[in-house]
Amino acid sequence: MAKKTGNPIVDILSSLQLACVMLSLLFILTLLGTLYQVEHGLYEAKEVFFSSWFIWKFGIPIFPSGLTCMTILTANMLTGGLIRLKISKRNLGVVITHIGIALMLGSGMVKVLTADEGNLALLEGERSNFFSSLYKWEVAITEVGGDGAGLVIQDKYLSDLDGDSARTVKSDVLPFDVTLSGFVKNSRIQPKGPMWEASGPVVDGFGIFEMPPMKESEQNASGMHVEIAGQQGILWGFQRAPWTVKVDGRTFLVDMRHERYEMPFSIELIKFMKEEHPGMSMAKAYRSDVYKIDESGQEKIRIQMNEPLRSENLVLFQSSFGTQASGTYSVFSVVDNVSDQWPLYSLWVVTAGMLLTFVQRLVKVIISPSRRRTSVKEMTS
Amino acid sequence: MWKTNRAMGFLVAFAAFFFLSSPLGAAQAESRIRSFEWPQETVELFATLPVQHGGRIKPLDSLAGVNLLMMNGKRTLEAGIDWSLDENGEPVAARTESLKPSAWLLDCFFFPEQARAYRAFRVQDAAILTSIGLESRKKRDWYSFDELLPGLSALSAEAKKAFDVETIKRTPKQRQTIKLNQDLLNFENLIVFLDPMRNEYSTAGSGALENIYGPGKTKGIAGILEHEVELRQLRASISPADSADYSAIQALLKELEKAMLGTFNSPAFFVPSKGAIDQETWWKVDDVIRESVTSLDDHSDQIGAVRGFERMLANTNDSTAFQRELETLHASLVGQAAARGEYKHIEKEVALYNLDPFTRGLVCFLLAFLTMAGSWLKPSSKGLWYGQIGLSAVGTILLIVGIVYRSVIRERPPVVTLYDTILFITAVSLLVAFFTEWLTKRRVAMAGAVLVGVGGLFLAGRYELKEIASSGDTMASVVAVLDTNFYLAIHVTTIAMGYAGGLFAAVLAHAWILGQLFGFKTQDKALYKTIYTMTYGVVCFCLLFSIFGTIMGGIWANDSWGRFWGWDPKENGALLICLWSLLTLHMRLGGFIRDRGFAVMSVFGGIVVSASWWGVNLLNVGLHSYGFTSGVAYTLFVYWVIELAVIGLAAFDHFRKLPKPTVPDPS
Repeated sequence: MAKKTGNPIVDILSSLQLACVMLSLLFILTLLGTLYQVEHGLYEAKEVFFSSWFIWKFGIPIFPSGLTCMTILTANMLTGGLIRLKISKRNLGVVITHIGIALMLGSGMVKVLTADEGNLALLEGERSNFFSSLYKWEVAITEVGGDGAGLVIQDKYLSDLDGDSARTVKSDVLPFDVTLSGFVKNSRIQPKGPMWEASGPVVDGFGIFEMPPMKESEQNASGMHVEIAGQQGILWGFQRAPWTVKVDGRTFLVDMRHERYEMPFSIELIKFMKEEHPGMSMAKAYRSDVYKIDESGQEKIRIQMNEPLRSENLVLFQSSFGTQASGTYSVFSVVDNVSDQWPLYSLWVVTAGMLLTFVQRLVKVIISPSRRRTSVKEMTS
Repeated sequence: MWKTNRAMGFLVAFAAFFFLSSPLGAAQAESRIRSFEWPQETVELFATLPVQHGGRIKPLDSLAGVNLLMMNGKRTLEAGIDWSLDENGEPVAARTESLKPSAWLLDCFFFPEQARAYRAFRVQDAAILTSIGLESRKKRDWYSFDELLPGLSALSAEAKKAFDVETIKRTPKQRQTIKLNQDLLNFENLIVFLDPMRNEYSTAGSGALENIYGPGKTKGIAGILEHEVELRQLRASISPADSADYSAIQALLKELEKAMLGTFNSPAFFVPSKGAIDQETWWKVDDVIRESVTSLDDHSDQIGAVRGFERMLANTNDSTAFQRELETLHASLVGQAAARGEYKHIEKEVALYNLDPFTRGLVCFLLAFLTMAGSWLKPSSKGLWYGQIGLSAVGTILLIVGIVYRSVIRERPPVVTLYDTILFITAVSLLVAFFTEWLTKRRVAMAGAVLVGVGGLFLAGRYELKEIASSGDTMASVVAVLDTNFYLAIHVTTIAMGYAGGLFAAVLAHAWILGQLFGFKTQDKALYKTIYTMTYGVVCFCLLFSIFGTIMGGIWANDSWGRFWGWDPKENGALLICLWSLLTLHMRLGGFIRDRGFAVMSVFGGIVVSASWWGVNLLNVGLHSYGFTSGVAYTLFVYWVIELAVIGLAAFDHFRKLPKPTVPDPS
């Protein structure tokens, strides 16, 4: 059993009571988060129950969310399972298990805080050195005929601008300030009519029609207002062409698009292949042959289900495919995560610890002299 | 494949209905009543013919078995029909014959009129028949194809309407309407299989055609296809200017098209020709016709096999000659499959179904249950005790043999489908029970084993139908993401072992709670301490495998979907088991729960495991779409209600036994 440290904070933080409370809360959160997905989709459920610190209702936190519970549980394990626990031959397995679980939770925390995730869709013969988020948006402003330099305003500076909130962004690379406002998570741009209220001002007869968020968050089309040098415009995530604005005789393009992340290499799709089970339309395998191109040259690599490409903290997975007029395209999920392989290490640590504990206990039961080997005769007498 | 075929099914329904009622179909109306019982050797040989179905090569017996099971609800058909004939070939007496799947399929192929009269279609709800304008006998009954035929068109329309409703929102009647329609379609695909071999083709009246086929009509498609080269040349050289020959060839080609249309969903018996682009997909009769008319490859093997079926057809009145022709065809088809290395597991699969280990295992456990009940009445009887152990051991061995067979046939680890999970979890629970009984020798774990054996194998039998309804097979092909034996072996089996531990702990906990509630040997503290210790050990077992399996699943997801953990419902289900077992063990460690609390938590664990195993599949959301299930919600709900009642009873018993407050004596 754990020993008291004399420090009440450490004693509470390391207590079994706290462990049980956190495990119970995580159990409830996991159950509710699972049921929540049926109506609201996975992304919303993750945001509400698991990737946030609190569940909010009426502007106040009403319940600790996944990040809070997992952080406290990790602290509880580290203090209770490692610091307070007397390490002995008997509980060595328990200590090792706690280390493994802490490593796993730690890897999850590192991923939540640092990883970028997105998709890369390529037609055969197409090449790209970036991938795009499925959920996050950015506003990119570049000058037509310029040197390519421009301003990119990330999702974290956009998605909090709901209601009447506005933000003015100043930049050395642009000869004007950019004022952004009225971010709407899912929207449609349509001519303003008498039957609906536009979200924010109407521009050239068009307004942002706010729609309920989609169950599959990647289907949301966000929209917002922008003002540059006194000119108002509407930005929309699925717009076909950027908004064009002229300032002092120079032309600038303002584009709202999914947030992009640069890769340290380029990927070119050589060929996508789909194999089906004989006589059926059920897919047996998807695979893409690609070139990975960097300064050292190009390398031909096959990416297929369960066999991703791992390189420089980036992992590219065969995700899906599709067809369009210009041909078949392959879609890769891309994750930039330094802790990508930590769960694997934690698995071996946890397994070693649990096996050690389990075998120790089992052997003890088997060889224990107190084990009653009640014979059938005794039982039936 | 079943699901994919459904969309096409409605079109096929119309085509088949048209086909069956067309002049060509009517030409089949000659009496084809079987005048002998199928010889055992004929049925056995027929059973081992290879056929491609559901993405794999399987024995014909398996194809027959899943079809019969789907339609009839059982693998054996009690076929009652007037089939004894007098010297004039007229039926004279009603007889009931018990048909195994392959014998039934022989009738479907070679005596379709007779098969159509078998009451082989189980209609679960008479309201379905009422809604399509047919008379019903009672709420649930069996009907023949001929009885249902007048309502086929209306049924197809009803099924289409039901199919348009979102899966999760379908009523039981809508689900059963879709199923009955699918059963009838499947049956049609079987009985029309030999129609191209039965038909006559218009090769008379054209000089060009008579030069190839001789005078008169040509009986059987093989006779047409055996002249494939000449037919192709004639087709290529003829022009509309040769009006009589051109029209005759067009008429013949139309007849071939009609034959193809009627059989494009029939069984795939024929290996593709060596020149075919797709070498993996076996051919159906329509493929043989199409390829012979259009492709320059050599199709002699395929046409030879078609001729083999025709020869069998020509000898349906002579069981000896029929057997001889079957042997020839069998040798040919098996030889072609074996040359491609595709026959190696056929006989094993037939042996598996003949052994029927899961039904026999269930019988063993039911007998073990009876002996167990007997041993409770007469505890001093060693015979009853050893009988219980022996029967349970035989049941367990049969179960394991069945699992191993299925594993070897598929060349996969033991758990691939939901049906596999039931078998595997039952087997693991049984092994854990035997081991626990060996450790404790208190007969409690053994009693649990018997209950687990009966429950698990009964559930497997019930679920087999659902699995076949959803994927057409209990050894179905797997989706791309599951096509990895490494992860299937490591992740899926360990998760299933965790489930087994959680469920068996719940079984043991019931013994503790119900024993205390009903006052069974409550003075024997050691007995209850042993049950508690056993439950604790099994929960530890559950935690070990659940944690390993869950993390391993995350690592698999990291390789296939790009993230270790995605909060997908199936992942969350596994996490709930880990959290429940961790909570239970930590509460015990902290002294927050004792024996009764541990038992209550273990019963609750059974709810958690069942929710993870089945419940999350009902939500129909997430990436584990291959595991989605429907139609088990009611059973699951009933189980949860019962378990919550057990927990309630444990609480009631606890408060009932609390010491009464002492009232001071007023004196």
